[in-house]
Amino acid sequence: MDTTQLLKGVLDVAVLAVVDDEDGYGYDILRRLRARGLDDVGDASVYGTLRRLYGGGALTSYVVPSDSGPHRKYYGITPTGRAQLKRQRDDWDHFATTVGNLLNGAA
Amino acid sequence: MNETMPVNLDARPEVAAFVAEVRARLADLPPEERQELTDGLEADLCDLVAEAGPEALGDPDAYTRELRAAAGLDPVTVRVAGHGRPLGERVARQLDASHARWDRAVGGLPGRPWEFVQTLRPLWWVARAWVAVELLDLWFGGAPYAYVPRVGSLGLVLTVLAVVASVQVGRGRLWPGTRVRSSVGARVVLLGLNLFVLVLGPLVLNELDARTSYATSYSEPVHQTLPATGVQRPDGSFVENIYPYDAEGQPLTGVQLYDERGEPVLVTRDPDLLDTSERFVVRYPWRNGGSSVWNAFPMPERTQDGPSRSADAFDDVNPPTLKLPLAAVTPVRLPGIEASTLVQDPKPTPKESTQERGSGAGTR
Repeated sequence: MDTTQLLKGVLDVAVLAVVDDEDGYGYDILRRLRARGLDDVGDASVYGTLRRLYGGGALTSYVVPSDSGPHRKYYGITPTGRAQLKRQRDDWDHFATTVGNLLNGAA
Repeated sequence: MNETMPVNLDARPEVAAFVAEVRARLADLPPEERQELTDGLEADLCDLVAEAGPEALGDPDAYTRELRAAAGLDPVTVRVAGHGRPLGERVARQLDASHARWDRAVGGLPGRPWEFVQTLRPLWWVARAWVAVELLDLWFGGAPYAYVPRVGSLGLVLTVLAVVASVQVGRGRLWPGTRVRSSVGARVVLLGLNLFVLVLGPLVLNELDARTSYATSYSEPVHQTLPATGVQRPDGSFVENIYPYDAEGQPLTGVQLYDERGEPVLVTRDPDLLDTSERFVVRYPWRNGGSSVWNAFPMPERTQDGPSRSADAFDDVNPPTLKLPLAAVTPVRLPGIEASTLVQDPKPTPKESTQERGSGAGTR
């Protein structure tokens, strides 16, 4: 099964969860996602998701200048984002349980 | 968790090029939205490259599609047509791409030979300055040529100036070195100059090698370095020209000399290098139609810059002339032998007489 299709559906909530743990910049968030098992996630997908969540008000961003070159853009979660995370986590739990039961029942 | 990796971003032109590619594919967006999307991208991609190598960057088309899709934008990327963009930008992209390809190609080699080569960069700055001045010398300077350019007496000064200029360009203190990062024009100029020197360097070396060995062979006494050709004096030196005089003691012109075997009497054909002025005394042979006759004397001569005989020497403002060592010599007689005399022709052109008895080594 093509997990990238599944990933797309959960990337928002996964990114929100990671940023909720701790603020981070794009590549840092990507690494944390991968470290937690989402190996297939593409960096452009993560960056795009971050920008979209930011655009939707779920994330806030701030720039940290760097001595060695371009500045890093950090993302943190907003109250809106936290609410969204909670809602989507519940949705996911419900969905995962439903699908899990369905699949196990069918087996 | 937020540790920043020490990354030298200047050393990642491929990232800058890649971000430029991505930006170009977001050209349909309002500036602030595009800024929003690509802000921080460079830093993120630098980290990626530092960790996974430049291959991780991949195809900017696919990348931008993914970025746009994830950001919830219209996934159709702007058509990036090569001919639709300014020439400078296209050239810059090509250069960036080649640079990145090169970095990738040499980056993986064991022992990092490219880093070694890069530390020799100042050597190249000096070398290209030297080639430039040496070129100038070969074009405009006179003989003799040397590995320290002469250009008259300015050689050393010019070399020092050129080295300083070249090093300053290399260090980015002098145009076009100052603008390499910002101006495609400066970049192309610098690349062109370097390629020019790269191509001409070996040619200059070759030419110098030829010309210096040439000069040495003439600045040394010719008689000792060349195989014996022509009439020799008892002291071993070579006769360079012969001036026949008739029985009356008057100079003759255009006399062809042969020895007792019927072979032409020849003198050395090597020009003289004048020690003081670095100019050559070159003798020009008489001619029979298209061919040179080397045993006809005296040979006219002239002082000139190079050692080679030029075809239009006689049309020059400084044509070869006869330089008699003696205006006249004492008359000679022999009983029973009639000396040649000039035939007094009604025509104004005097006919030369030949004097076969006058041939041989004892002309001086």
